[in-house]
Amino acid sequence: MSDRTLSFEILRYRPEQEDEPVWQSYDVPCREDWVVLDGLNYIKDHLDGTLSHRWSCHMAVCGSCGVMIDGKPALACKTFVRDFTDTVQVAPLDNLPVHRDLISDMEGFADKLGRVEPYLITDEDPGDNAEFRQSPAQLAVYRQYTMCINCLLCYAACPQVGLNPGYLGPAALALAQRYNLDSRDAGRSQREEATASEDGVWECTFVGECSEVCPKAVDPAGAIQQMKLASSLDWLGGLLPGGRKS
Amino acid sequence: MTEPRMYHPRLPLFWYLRRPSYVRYMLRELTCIGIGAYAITLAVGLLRLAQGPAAWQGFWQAFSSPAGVAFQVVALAFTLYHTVSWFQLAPSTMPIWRGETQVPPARIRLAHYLVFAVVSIAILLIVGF
Repeated sequence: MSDRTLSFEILRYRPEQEDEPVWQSYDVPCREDWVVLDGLNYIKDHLDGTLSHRWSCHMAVCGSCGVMIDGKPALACKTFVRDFTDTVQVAPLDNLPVHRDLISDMEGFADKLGRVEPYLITDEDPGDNAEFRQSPAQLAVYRQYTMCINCLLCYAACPQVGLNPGYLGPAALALAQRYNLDSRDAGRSQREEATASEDGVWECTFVGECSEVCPKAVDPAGAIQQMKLASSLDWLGGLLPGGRKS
Repeated sequence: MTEPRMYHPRLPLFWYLRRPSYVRYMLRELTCIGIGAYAITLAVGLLRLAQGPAAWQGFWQAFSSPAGVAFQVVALAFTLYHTVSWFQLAPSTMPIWRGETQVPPARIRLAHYLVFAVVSIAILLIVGF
C-alpha cells in the first residue's frame, strides 16, 4: 500500500522522562498523497502509542496541528510528504512552552486574546431587537482578519514573542484590529489599554514573518502597523487642545 | 497532585541566522545606522559652516576625500536598501479601499516611488539653483 518510506524525526518531550526535548526517528511507510499529519497518525496508531500531538479537522480549518516542519511553522495537515526526500523533522511550535511532545501550551495565548477584548463594544445598549447593519464595503475592510484559526504559527515565526513572552503577539493583535475596523464597533480606545501598552503593538519590529507563515493569508503584521499609526495619531490628538484623550 | 512541568524553549542568541527572511530583516534594521551616520555628518557640516569659511573648508576637504566619498557611497547603498525594503512593506501598513476592493499593492508601492522621485528632483533643483 505504501509508495515509499519516509523517516520522521520528531522532537519529543516527556516531562516524567527527560529535562530537555530529544529527537526520535520513525520509519513511516507513506502514500504519495499523505500529509505530515497522516504520518504522525500512523506513528501513533502503529509504531508508538506514546507520541502526543493535536489534530482535529485534517483540512486547515481547526488550527490544531501547527508544528515546526523542517524548522518552519506549518500545519501538519497542509504539508505534503511528497515535498520531502528522505527525512522530515517535526518539532513543537517555537516560542511556546511545551506540555508534551508536539503539544504546545495555549493558555498564555488565551489570556492574551482576552486582554484585547475581541468582541463588539458599543457605546450604548442597542436593545434586544436592534439590527447591526453593515454594507459589503464595510465588511471587506476587516474580513481577512476574521479568517484567523488561532493555529499560532505566527507566534512561532515571531522572534519578538520569543524575546518577550508577555508580548500580546500577532494573532491577538490582528483580532483586536478586526474589531477596531468593524463599523459596528466603538471599542478601539478601550482596547488600546492593552494594544498600546508595553506588551502591545510597539513590541513589534515588523519582521513580517507572521504574515508569511499564516496558512489563511491573514496579514497580522499589516494590522499591527495600522494600529501603531492609529495609536500615534490618538497620542498626537491628545496633545492638542480639545483633542481626543485615549 | 502537582502539574506536570512544561518545557520553556529559549530563543538562541543568533536566532536571526535561522532563516533568510530574518537575515533580510536584520539587514533592513542595520541600514538605519548608515542613514543615522549620514544625518549626523550633515549636522556636523552645518555646524562647521556656521563656524566660518576655514572650518567649512576643512569639513569639505574631509567630505570629498576618498574615505569621505566611500562613506557616502556606503550610506547611499544603505539608504536605498532601507527605502526599497520599507516601500515593499507599505501596502500592508497603508491599505486603501475603494468600496469592496482593495487598491493593488503594486500601485501603492508605485505611488511611493513617484513621490520619492518628485521630492528628490525638487531637492536637486533647489540645491542646483
